[in-house]
Amino acid sequence: MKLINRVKSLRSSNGWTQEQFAQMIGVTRQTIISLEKGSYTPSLLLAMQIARVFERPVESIFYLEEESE
Amino acid sequence: MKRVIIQSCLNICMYFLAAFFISSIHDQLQLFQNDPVSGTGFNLTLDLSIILPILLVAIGLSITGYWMRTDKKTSFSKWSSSTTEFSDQDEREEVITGKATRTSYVTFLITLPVLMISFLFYAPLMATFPNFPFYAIALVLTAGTLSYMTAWVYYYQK
Repeated sequence: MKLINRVKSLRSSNGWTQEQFAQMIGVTRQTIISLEKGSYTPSLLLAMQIARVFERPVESIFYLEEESE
Repeated sequence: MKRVIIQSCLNICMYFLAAFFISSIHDQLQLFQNDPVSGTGFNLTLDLSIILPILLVAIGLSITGYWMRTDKKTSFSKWSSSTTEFSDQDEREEVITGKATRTSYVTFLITLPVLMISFLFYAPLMATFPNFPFYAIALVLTAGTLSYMTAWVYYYQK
């Protein structure tokens, strides 16, 4: 199973730069880059902070994708 | 990332300067042990050309470390009791530091037994290179620091 996120599309739709978004949730820009690439899985705390910034439930931003064999 | 690279490189410089410094003391102590009565007694000369680079690197380490600290509100006394490599800015960097530390630990698990094996040839090595143990320890520390730095950069850019 792989954790997929919609951070990039939601951030773009809000018109925020990676730097601005990083400041909002208190991480570095590099973390946002990794998050959007899907190479970093955030902690539950960070995921909930992201959800609060986007004013959406966590499960609408992060969801599991079954890997096909 | 820059702070980890700079700090690691300065640390490596310090290992070899310290090895060089201790070697020079060792050389003089050996002279004294070999011939304790013919000279003027215990006489230890500290060469400025050895001490000065060590002092400069130590000052460089302190300045860069303090300057690159993540929490700018941290006082010098509080900051000086920790290391710059571990001053992570967010949770991802904490994870990276954990992974890099594990890599460094594995490196020590490999290099220390290799160092032990090299001590089998202690006598011939000491005959040709009397300061071998100091530089061998500096090399092992360098391997650990280099693996930490490489792993940190690798996971940071991933």
